[in-house]
Amino acid sequence: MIELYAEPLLGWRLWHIREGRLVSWSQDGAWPAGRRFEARCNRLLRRSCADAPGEGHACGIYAARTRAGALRLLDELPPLPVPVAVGQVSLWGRVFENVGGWRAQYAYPYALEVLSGGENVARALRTHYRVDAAAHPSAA
Amino acid sequence: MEIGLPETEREIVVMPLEEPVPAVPEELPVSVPEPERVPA
Repeated sequence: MIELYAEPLLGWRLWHIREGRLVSWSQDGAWPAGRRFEARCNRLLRRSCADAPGEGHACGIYAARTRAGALRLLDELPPLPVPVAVGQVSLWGRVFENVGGWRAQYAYPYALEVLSGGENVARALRTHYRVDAAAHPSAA
Repeated sequence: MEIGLPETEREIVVMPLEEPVPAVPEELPVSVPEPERVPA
């Protein structure tokens, strides 16, 4: 039996930032402002699912349970020459829950911390997405 | 991002009464003043 929740989940994610917009590590498209970000299934070799996230697929909007879990991605990937933000993200719709986090159908940023890029980047994110965004004290 | 093995995931449905998306004002088109009409 599938459990039903009435409050959005809050997970942690990592983004890179281009022109004041959040961009997922795995995709080139920017997250929209003022409307939900919706998961798509981009499976190429086998049939993609009609409604991402699909059972048994890897599609969906990923989020970790903890900040440390999201930051772990930074250790696994080469550094990017663009600003990076870590933050909480609201998740809802159909969601697959796992031990380390979730993959969800819909998402929107909840609060952001700019790790590199400084106050100007944080201000651009606040203005665009209308959520809290602050520059990390060490951000250049 | 690693969140776990497929065998350990379970499906849930999250249906908030309101979507957690703040209202973002649409960018208003820049209004261009009409040129002054010169009486003939």
